[in-house]
Amino acid sequence: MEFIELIKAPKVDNVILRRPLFPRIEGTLCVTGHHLILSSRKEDAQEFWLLHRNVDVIERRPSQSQFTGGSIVVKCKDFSVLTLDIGATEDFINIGDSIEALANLDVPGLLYPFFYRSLQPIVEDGWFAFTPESEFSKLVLKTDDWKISYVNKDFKVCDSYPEAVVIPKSIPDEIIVAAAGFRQGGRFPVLSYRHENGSVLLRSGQPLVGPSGKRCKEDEKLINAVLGPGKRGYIIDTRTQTLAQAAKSRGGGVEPETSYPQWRRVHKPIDRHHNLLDSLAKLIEGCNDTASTMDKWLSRIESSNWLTNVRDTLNCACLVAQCLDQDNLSVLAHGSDGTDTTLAVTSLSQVILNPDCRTIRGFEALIEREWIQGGYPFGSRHFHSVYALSASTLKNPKRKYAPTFVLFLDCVWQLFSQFPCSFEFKEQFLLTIFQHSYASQYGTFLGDTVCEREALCLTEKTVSLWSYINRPDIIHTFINPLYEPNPVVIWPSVAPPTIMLWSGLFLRWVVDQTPNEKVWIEMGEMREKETELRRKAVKLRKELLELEKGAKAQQNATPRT
Amino acid sequence: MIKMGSFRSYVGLEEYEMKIPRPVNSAFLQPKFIKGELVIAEAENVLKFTSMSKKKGLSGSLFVTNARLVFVSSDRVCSEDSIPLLSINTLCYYEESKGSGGKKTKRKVKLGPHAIDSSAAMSSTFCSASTRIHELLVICSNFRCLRFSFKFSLVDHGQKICNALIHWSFPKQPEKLFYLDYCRALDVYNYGNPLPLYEIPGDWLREIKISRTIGYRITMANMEFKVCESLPETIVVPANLSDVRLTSLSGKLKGSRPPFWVWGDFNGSAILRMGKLHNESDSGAENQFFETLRKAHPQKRKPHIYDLDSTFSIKEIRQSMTRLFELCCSESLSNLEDMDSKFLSQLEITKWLSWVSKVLQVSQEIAESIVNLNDIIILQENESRDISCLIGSVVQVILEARFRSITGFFSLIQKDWISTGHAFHSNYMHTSPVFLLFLDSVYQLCYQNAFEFEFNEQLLSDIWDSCFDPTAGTFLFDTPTQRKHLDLRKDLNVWHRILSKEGSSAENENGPVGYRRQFPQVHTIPKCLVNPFYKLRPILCPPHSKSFRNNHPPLLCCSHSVADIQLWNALYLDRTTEPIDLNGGGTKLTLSSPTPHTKNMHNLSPRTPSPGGSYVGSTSSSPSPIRGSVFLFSKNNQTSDPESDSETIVCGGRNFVNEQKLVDLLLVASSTSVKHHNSTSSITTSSRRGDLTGLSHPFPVVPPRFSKTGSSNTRINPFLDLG
Repeated sequence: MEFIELIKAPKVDNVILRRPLFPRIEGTLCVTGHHLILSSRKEDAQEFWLLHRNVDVIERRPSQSQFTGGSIVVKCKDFSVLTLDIGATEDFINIGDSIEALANLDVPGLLYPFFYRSLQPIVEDGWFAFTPESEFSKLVLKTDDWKISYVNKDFKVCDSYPEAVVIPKSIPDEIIVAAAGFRQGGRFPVLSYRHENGSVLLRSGQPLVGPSGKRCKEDEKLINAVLGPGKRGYIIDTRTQTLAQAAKSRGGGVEPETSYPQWRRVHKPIDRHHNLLDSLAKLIEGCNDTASTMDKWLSRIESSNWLTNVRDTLNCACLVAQCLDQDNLSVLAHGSDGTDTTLAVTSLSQVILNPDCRTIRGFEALIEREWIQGGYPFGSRHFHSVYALSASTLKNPKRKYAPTFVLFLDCVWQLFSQFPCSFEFKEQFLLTIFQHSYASQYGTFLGDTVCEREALCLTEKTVSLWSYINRPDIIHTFINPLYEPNPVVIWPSVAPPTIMLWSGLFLRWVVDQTPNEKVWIEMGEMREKETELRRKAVKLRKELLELEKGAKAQQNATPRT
Repeated sequence: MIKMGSFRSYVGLEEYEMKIPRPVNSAFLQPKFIKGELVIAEAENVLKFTSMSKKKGLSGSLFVTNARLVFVSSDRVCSEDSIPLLSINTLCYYEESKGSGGKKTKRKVKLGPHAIDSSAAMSSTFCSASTRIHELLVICSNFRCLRFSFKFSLVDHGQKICNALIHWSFPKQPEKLFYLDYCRALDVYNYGNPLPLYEIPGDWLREIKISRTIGYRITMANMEFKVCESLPETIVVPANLSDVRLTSLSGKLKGSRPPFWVWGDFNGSAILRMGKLHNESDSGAENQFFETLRKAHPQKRKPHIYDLDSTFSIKEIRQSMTRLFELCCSESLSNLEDMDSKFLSQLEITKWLSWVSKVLQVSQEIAESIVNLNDIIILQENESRDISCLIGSVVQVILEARFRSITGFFSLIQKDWISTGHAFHSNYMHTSPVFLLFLDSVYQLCYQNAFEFEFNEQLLSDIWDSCFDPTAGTFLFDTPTQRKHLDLRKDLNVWHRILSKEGSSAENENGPVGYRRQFPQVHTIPKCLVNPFYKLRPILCPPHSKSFRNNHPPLLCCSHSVADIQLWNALYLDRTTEPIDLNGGGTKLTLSSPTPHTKNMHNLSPRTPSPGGSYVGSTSSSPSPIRGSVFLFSKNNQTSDPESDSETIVCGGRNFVNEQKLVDLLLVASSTSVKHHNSTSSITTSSRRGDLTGLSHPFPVVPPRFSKTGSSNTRINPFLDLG
């Protein structure tokens, strides 16, 4: 397939782009294979670029007054909404068709990352910065109980896991293979994080207990190996008890207590898939309507339940963290597939527990480890976002769109806003990751599983987002001026008044964020000034000492008269 | 380093066991009395709970004096906690009648503003001798709650305390206020007063001179309060309005409040306040006055009259505040938990934020018409003593940088509230919802304009606290007449108290501001009240210079949009629960700032002892962030121009959308121009949830409020029996 078939009108003149907070742009609209480009073609060269991939849904509004042309409302996955006014009816239809076709293009090989080449030389290739081997080698060297296993070579055991996984040393591969058969999607329990006190966090898919109550000795053996004799652990299920029980009829279920006597099961429900998307859609709808009066707005935000979801997720992650840190107990976390809320919980508890995850590189490693290698299907989940939900024409039953990753980023932002000095990165970093996870010129968030990514040869054909972010001149812009390494566990507050709406993300396109940014810049300047003055003080003090020494020496040298 | 305790927000709080107080020789348990203070009732072996769950607390003695309710702890040396009687809003107590067979009944007595006309209710709550009071919850108008238990004290002690509180809290006549006893008991030495009080002609003259107002004069028509008792003896009126006409006009207005000037400038715009006509149909004199004003205006513009009674209702504002109290000061842990799940909608029901939004909306409208059209604004209201104070002063904050400095702000309150007769005592019993609305509106402005205010929200909440200070005369009376007749000590005012308070706000929470020490004559402004982002630009660049106009839009940014109004957490929520101490941990860190960012600045590294300690100031090991080194540097920063610097960053932020190989440069150019357009937008940063309640790295602090939904609780509890 060629792009030319999809692009029905490559160039249209006299198009007006309107969006809140920005001045309107009038000029020529070009539709390329990957971008929508609007250029004013004037001295001041106002240009606007939009990736087709970023388009969530479009709405066509034929002009009421002039009978020709109309407006195309482009609703993007980053929540922005823009309006294109097109004069001629033919152009109006063609542009609409082209955008719609290109935005829904489902051929991975045609996506922009495969065409994009970095202009800057790549200093450090992000594709190889965070391999499982390098991430876990320290852990494996430090302890005797864990090993990096290649049981999943060629993705034979589980297609959503990477080839290298960390499992208990004492467990032979056959047991793993057997245990994988007992878990949803073959996602057998693997190590996600080992806390400094030795307690570990595992994640997996749900056990395939089924209506008949099957059990699997190998699976029991595998997870009991983690605990050691006489110790107990926790299984944290991210579904409600009823949902988990109901899953039995479809072959899933929960670990029965009789077969797992060393484990105690706790349910900490977090909304999933369409519920979550629904909630986010309501939130965005409320946020975009800032004109509404005070008496409706707050309850509208509240009734979207998004903040409750954030709180639930934080709550669950805190529980995991509490088990690991306070009670010194190991935890196995899973939901049903083990690819969504499970990952949000395991990664969030690492942010709470592990100071490394609060640095820029550490956070990148976390996302790579838990989300990308962990098998979060970015390709499917981020294929559409909130606006597509309301446009029923685009409902695609094959794919499950869900903003679980956005939920995770929001939780991290809550932590960040409660502990602004403990994170090396600032809000902009999270926003950048959010943006690229939906539409990007980088290949990092393409595909659903590691297996799929290998098949697409992403490492050769595309550039990694981390290669870009980790460039010294770019990473510099993400550094939080207030950062001071904080080695302790950060326990957040989950009281409702402390869970805030992330205005930098949800209100970015409707409320001007510059004052906030200015304050951050000011803080950076103050911080710099402070360091500079401190340095100066140290220097002066040294000078003083030397002068004193010199004076003394002189005193001693000159004999008293 | 972090104790288990900090995680109590998710798990039960029920683990601490309350210890039974040991009897202590009561002679040691005496509070430090203020001069003129007398003990009215006392109770021994009282428990003061420090957590909502009533499982943790201190034991000691409780005193009711004619000025305060004081708790002296026997567990900790010299630990005293006191609240002024004037601040007590509601008493809740559990009583047990002898006949009822141990059944406890809960009763609630509203004091303060709610009980003004319910003296009948007062007598009915008089505790009869047959009951015993077990527990007492004192809710204060400054959003504090104190919980006491009389479980271990003598039978009638609780009752004595309650009776004393009910009878002594609010003296009807201002002559009976403790302040007068205090003044008499103090030594004669008068410290003088550097701040204008707007009682003498000089202060008003200065005001006219500074603002370069033309067309107005000072009149002595109100000498001996002949025209109006609730206005100062000197007032400013239009120059072409004769004293005779002024007097006759005032006779026709409610409260006989003649029109008077509060603010003006050299373009002819001005803000005047006046009462409404007794008889609406008899508007001849009023119209004549408006015509006089029109003639006096350089462009002969008609004055713009705002009828505030039609936009604002004091009754509704009062109700709204009452609901806010009920929301923020929970009576019990279970209430708090119930409320947690629907906090936002509950908040919405109080309508408080809508009022704040409305105040900002009206004020902005007025400020814009003043700047753009040089209008004369007349704020007309029933007696022009409530809403007109509010709107007038908020408009002035928006208009003039002068009122955004600390002393300027004090003088604004003195000019627009105190001297022009806002009835703090008789109408509101010291809890004026209108004044709270004013402070909240200024808080919003502080939040929306991080660089424009010299002070931070701490100062605003200190001012609210000072409304109940029985030892400073500023907020205790109604009118200038009262102040004159009672012959107040001019030096014993709130402004001295606020400025002379010692650094830590934690100290001040334990008592009405500043009993410890008389203020020195020269004030250095406490660092905890200063906004580190404040720039001294207005002084450095003259108003007509280009850089001034670039950096200072003619008006303060002021958005009344729903997304920009937020709850003042530090005042409304953070105080309701006592700081829950960690076992062996430090005390609660009270941080406050106009923006959460200031909080970040506060957090800047007091943790590591500074190498440059000698010039950084205090290197005290106290965890108080306000002693950080940041503030010393903040004002040296004027040279930096945030405008130019911000551009690069903003671009960096925006262009990731279209991070293209070829257009990077183009985009920088385009977003620069885009940004330029943006800077005129008045919408600012928003997060309606307010900032965090009290957690802050690196000091582990228990969040003052906790979410413990029923379900999560039952699910987590299994930990406890795990062992």
